[in-house]
Amino acid sequence: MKVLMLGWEFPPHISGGLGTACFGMTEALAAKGVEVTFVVPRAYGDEDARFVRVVGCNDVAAALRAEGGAGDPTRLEGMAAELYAVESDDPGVHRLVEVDSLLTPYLNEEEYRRRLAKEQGMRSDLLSVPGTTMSEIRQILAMHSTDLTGARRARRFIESFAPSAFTGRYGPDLMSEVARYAVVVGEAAMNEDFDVIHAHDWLTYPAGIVAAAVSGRPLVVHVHATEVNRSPEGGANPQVREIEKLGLDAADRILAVSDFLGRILVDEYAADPAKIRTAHNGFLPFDGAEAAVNRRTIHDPIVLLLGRVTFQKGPEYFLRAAARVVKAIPNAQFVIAGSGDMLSYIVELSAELGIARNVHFTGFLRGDAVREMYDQADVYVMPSVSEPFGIAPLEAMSLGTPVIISKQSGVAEVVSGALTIDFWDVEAMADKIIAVLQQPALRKQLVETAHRDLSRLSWAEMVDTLIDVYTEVLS
Amino acid sequence: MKQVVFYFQVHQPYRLREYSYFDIGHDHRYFDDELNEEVVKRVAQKCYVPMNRVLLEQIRAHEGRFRFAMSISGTAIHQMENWAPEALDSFRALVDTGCVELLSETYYHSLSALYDEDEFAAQVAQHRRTVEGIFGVTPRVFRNTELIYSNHIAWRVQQLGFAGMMAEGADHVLNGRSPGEVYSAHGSGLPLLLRSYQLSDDIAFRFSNRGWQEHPLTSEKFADWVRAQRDTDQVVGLFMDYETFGEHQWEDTGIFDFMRHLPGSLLGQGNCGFMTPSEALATHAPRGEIDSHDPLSWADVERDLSAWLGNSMQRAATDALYDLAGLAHEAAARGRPELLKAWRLLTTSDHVYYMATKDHSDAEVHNYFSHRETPHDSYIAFMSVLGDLRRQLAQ
Repeated sequence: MKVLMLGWEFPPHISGGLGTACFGMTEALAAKGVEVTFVVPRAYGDEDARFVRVVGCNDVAAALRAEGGAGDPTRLEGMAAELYAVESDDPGVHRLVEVDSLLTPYLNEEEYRRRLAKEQGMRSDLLSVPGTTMSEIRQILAMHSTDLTGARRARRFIESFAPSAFTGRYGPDLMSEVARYAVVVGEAAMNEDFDVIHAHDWLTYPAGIVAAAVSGRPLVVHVHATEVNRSPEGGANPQVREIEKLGLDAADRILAVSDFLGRILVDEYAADPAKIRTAHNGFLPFDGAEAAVNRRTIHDPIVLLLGRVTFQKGPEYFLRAAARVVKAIPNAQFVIAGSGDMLSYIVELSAELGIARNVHFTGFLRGDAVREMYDQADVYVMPSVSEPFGIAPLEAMSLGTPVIISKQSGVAEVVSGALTIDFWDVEAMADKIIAVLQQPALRKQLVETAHRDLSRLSWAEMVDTLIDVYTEVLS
Repeated sequence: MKQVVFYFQVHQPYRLREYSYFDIGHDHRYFDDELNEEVVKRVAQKCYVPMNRVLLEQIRAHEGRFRFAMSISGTAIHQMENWAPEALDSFRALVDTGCVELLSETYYHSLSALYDEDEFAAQVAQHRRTVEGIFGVTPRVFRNTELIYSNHIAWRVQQLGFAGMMAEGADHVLNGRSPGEVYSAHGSGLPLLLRSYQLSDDIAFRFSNRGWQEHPLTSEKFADWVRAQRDTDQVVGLFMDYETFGEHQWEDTGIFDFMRHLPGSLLGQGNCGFMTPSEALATHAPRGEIDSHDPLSWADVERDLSAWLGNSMQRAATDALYDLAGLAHEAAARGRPELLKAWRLLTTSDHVYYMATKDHSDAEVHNYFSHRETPHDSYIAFMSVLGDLRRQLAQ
């Protein structure tokens, strides 16, 4: 079986959960004999005349070495010259198709323009601000049809679009870039050999639809999060919602990372429940978790919230619970590790609630600092308002830190070694934080059960669901 | 005859470095020495040294008829000693003329007058010792941090033995009276000299503003404005940050030339003179009373404490800071004087000034002075430092 996976990031440059998930399932699929052609956006810049770079798996390693080291442009030039010429039979990613694009996971319009401005060496407020173009995307989404006419129409569309898509200019706004990406991927898909298309999250849905149209192959969309999750307070971007909806409708099967998310797809997007399958994420423990450095010097109890500081992640509920905990445990310390559009408000609120001395802000953490933070914490709280899955609590659990998670999360479906609360119930949240901090027996029980939970969450098991779904759509 | 009382405030804080949560318990270096050295060297070169030269020339040219006051915070003196000794020498040369009065203030340019009276007295004493040691003079008139005044603070200042105090000529306490008279503080009767904010800000803020209808401001025009003050006025208080000259307003705005010509323009027609605060207070008896229970200051449009205590972060940080006063003194008593010193360096008002979240033009002023990206960053770093200091004090 051959899969064209429209994924995100590729080692060694993985920055987020979406990249980690794509890599985890690709590796596990390969181990079960599924051949994956991994398509990923990567920015090369205007001066680079290539739009698609295809690397066989032997060369993936070499390219990574070249890039990780001093960099060897001539070597990469050479590889590009062998476009579509490299074949390999190694396990893992069989072909890596890099499309020159500014798309990154979880991108929004504002962030896209910042990236574009940086790429063009301009201030983002000086970039022209044309009306966001949905027409191209609508054309793309309308072409979904597996009949010949559809495929022919798709090819014609690509041809007519191609000159502008291949000029090497990134789209002036996010939606044009999503459309441009779809066209380039469609072009690449005409030259690839695959049985099924697997697209991750809305930015790749149009590309998946084009690839399906030109190839006549079935499309599986994999939903890791939706605009509804990201904006539970309202204000969801209608264009994103539209693309999500059309992607879900165009898909032959929909993979949701949790039942919780699946229900949102049905309730909010009117997705066909018959097409939806739940595939809980796997989990790869940190490398050498035991060797983690813990330079903890704060001997007061530490309660951790680690994640983006946005409404979705529930930081305000965390603080309000903290204010209650401090009444019972005056020396309890609360660490908010992350950054986001709500940070200023949360910082001010911590001062207003009279717990300024108990609350710490670390800013955005990466790499070892994340691990150290989990390690330092006596309890990790994920009070998310709407969390499609939630990998962070698993990371905390893997380092022996007890966790409290909101019931409004996917991860609550797969762990029993965690305390759960409704995100809005700050009283219960405070009670449970106090309980974990004060009852060693409870902590021990949670940590032990958590280890059992984690041992069951493997990507190897998870991809069995993918293979079932691929088989279904191919039969 | 109107007596112009110039008072220039010289201050540099010890700015904090980007102290993070992960530094707590590991790293007790709180201050950004590199940045502080860079700033004091730059300000010395762009402002202190050249402007002191201009003022010294004018004192000599007018044979002592041009005279004024300065106040130099202890943290500024200490930084100049370490990193810009030539600037300190140039201040000494000014004081040595006998035409420059040095005022008293808290060594750390702190808000201690509002929070801790013993600490306030201690910081005033430390500043006095420093000024006596470096300049060989003893200050007699007091200037509180950012001109913060209340009836109660004036009473404390009188108890400490000062002859008078500087204050803001705020409209809401003058109620139509002129800032150009000597007043006394309600309750204590301490004599007060007030700032004429209109004329002071014409120099300190508006001088280089090309959108201002009076731009460009010449020394002759300004002298006319001074002479046009009310007939009954005794004094004209021109109080401003010294960094106005060459740092906030660059040399190419003509600010040095303006100040070079101003003494001559004012003295030229015979009905204006200059006095130091002590001289003005010795010459003129108070004519009215200033009564303000609530503290007033020279900052922002509100002329109150909102520049330092206007939002919840600033209040929480200040409360958390002064809560440690007792522990800091205990630590010093048991042989850790460096912890008390670190705590005192955190009392410098600039740290909370950087946390202000004001709108409009005041925000621009706050941002101009801050070395951080946002007020929240300043708060977070400050609170992390306090977290570390609290742990050190508790040991």
